[in-house]
Amino acid sequence: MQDDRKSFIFLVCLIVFCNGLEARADISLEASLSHLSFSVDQGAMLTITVNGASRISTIEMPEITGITFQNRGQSSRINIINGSMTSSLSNSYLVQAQKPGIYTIPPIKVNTGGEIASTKGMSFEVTGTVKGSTTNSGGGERSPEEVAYIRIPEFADHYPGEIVPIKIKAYFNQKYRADINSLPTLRGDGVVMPQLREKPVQTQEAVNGVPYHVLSWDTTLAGIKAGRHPLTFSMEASLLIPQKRRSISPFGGGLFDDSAFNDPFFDSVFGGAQRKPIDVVSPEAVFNVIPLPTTNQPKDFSGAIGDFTLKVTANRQDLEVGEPLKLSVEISGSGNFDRVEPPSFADNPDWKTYPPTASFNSQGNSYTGVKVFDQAIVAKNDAVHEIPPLSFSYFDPMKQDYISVSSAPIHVKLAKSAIAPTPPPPPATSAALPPPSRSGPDKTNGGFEQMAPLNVQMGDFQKEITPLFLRNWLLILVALCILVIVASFLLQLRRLNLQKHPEKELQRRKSHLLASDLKLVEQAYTAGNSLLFLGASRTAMQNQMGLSWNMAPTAISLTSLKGRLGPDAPLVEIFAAADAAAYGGATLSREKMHAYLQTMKKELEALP
Amino acid sequence: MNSRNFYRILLMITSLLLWQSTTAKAGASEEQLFQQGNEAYSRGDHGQAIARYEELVAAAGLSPSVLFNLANSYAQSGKIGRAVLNYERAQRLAPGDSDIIGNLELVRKESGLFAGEPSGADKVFHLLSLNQWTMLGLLALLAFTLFQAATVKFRLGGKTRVGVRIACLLLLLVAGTGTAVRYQGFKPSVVTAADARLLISPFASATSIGAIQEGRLVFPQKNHGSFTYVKDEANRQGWIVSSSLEAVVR
Repeated sequence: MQDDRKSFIFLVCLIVFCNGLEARADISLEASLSHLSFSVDQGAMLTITVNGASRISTIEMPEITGITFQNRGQSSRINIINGSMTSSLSNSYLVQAQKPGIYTIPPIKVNTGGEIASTKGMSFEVTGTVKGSTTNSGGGERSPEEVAYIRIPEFADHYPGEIVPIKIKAYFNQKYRADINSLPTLRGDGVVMPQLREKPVQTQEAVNGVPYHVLSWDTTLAGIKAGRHPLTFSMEASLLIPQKRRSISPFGGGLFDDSAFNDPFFDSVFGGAQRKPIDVVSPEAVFNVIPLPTTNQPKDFSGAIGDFTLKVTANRQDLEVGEPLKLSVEISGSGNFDRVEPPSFADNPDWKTYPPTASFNSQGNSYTGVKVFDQAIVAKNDAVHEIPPLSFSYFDPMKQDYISVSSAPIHVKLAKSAIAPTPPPPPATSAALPPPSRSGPDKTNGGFEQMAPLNVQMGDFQKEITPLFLRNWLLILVALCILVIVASFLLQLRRLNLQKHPEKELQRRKSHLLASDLKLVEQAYTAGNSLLFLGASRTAMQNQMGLSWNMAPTAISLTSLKGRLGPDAPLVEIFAAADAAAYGGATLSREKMHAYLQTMKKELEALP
Repeated sequence: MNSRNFYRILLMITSLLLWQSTTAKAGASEEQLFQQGNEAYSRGDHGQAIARYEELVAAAGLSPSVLFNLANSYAQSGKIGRAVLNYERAQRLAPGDSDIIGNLELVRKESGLFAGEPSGADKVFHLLSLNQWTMLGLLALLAFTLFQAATVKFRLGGKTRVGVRIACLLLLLVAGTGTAVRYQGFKPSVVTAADARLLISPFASATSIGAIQEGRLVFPQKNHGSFTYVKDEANRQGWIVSSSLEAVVR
């Protein structure tokens, strides 16, 4: 069995060796470019294939001015045909150029493990950038219009601020797969376009027999200054180029090269797609803006351009002096409603007016609808009989002239006041008789269509409405804050005071220390423990004298005490007794302890 | 555990369960009333919706959502005074709610309840609600307190100490003024009667100063019998029948 295994290994090695010799004998070198002509923004794939070699040591890539080679990896391939095995190695490079021109790649030297071979030189052409164009896998080029383009209408002459409705249509050839990456944008000065809505209308159209997917956006343009304004529309899209799949067969290119799985159908289904960005553009158009005529321009012209009608209504005609009246001014039609201003209510001694509120009810777009101005007006006296006419002026681009429209005067009936109003009041301030017979213009539900809908969540309940500053938690918090503030102020005052009078602080410390030390002494006296009594007495004296003489308490000794107080001082006697007790264990009678305690209290309290 | 303790614990658990059950039942009936009100409103039966919401308020108290729905129902049935009253109440519970603000403005506008031009100071103080001014003042007080406490522990420069204290106190002063100004308008009454009139004296036969519109806010000053002396938003003063009014904050 062992012998059989050795024989088999030897046989395999022999076959491999022989094959290696054979391969070494048939080494050949090829270099190919995927495209011999490509644009600057694209590139070509250079493939260097070594047939018959098991490895490549080095490939000496040439240096060409303006050309870059990016290594894209190595692949190997082994074919066994009729028992004969051949192998090949391929190195791929992406070739890109910085500028157009004709370039030549000189012979490339390849070292295949000791043997050096060279490719043949080859020339290729690099062209300029082609906008929107892309190359297919076969190397052919498509024109941008063939894939996608934008179509816009031609423009007539328009006025500054005039709203010009347009339809932007983007055509995508159904032959190609594409994704849009942005909405169409306007390129050009002097013209503005509102933000396009996200979802366009999608249709299909055939142009010259070619079917296109069409995306349409309805929008408007408005010139902001006079002059000729060239403009284009563009949008970003991606062309999806189907990628050929790499063979997944372990025998790739060999026996199963014609497998059904290599059908191009599977390239489109499983092969994925490369996204090639393309710029979809419209042809250039000129938006000519001509200035508005200056002759016959009404004084109340506010810049409104379009076709409008004016309607003025009052919420009632029977009123009292000082009682507000709602005047509704409706300007409807089509045009630049953003420039439509409320008709001015001329200064009138009979009426007091308030600033109007405006609302716009559009009819599907921003340039057709009704703009309503609601204004409160108050009759100042009972001599008024009508609301004066209001006028509105606009420029009609169709008629190329200014138009002024006026409302009819609205007759009103005023009741006489019981009390003369003085001075002219704001709404609801003045007196009036008789009582009004209404409590709002719309007693029914007709007036509140725009009302916010009901709440569906019940929410939390409270027993009463209490403002925040009356809630208990807040009052407690405020009280705490005040306490903290007062306390910190007092502490700061005390600190300042002590800083100003340091002797007070010293005295305080001394008193505090003396009290605590004497407490221990008294406890020892009460217990009748003379040793403890004398020890505590010694500590008390050291503490007090240390503070008085600015010394460390432990540094106070009998000698220093005698030096400072004199040898006959009563405290010296007690200190000496304490020293003697500490070293010799002397005891004191209760009477002596009492006498010492009294003396110590008196003397220590008297210390400066 | 002896039997006495056992019975005590059993009693406590039973009481707790009973209390929970009662609370849950009450919650369910409130939810039911709310749903009934919403359903009645949706089918246009505003009278029924008002009855359900009022019942809910009487049983459970005040909720911004319920008051808002109640106000909507009153507005839809043309009772502008009660609509304004309930919007005002809802607004005091949820000051920043845009739906409440929007509907109240709409009702006022549609009913001709135009407010007078606010002064510059009014505009400033109306930038924040009463509670927001209070909260701002509280924050200023807390900042002052913390800073004051910090100065006990840490030694800070004289300019910093004075600067921070002045800033906090100024903020406190502004917030206090804002709170005071906004509180003046916090407890108005609303005219809920359609034919209310202001009178010179507190008698039914007294001369009328003029009509006062339903939905107007007035500020009661004093009472006499069945009359209340009020001042309206435009400082017009007079006696009004007390039953024509309803206080926003009871």
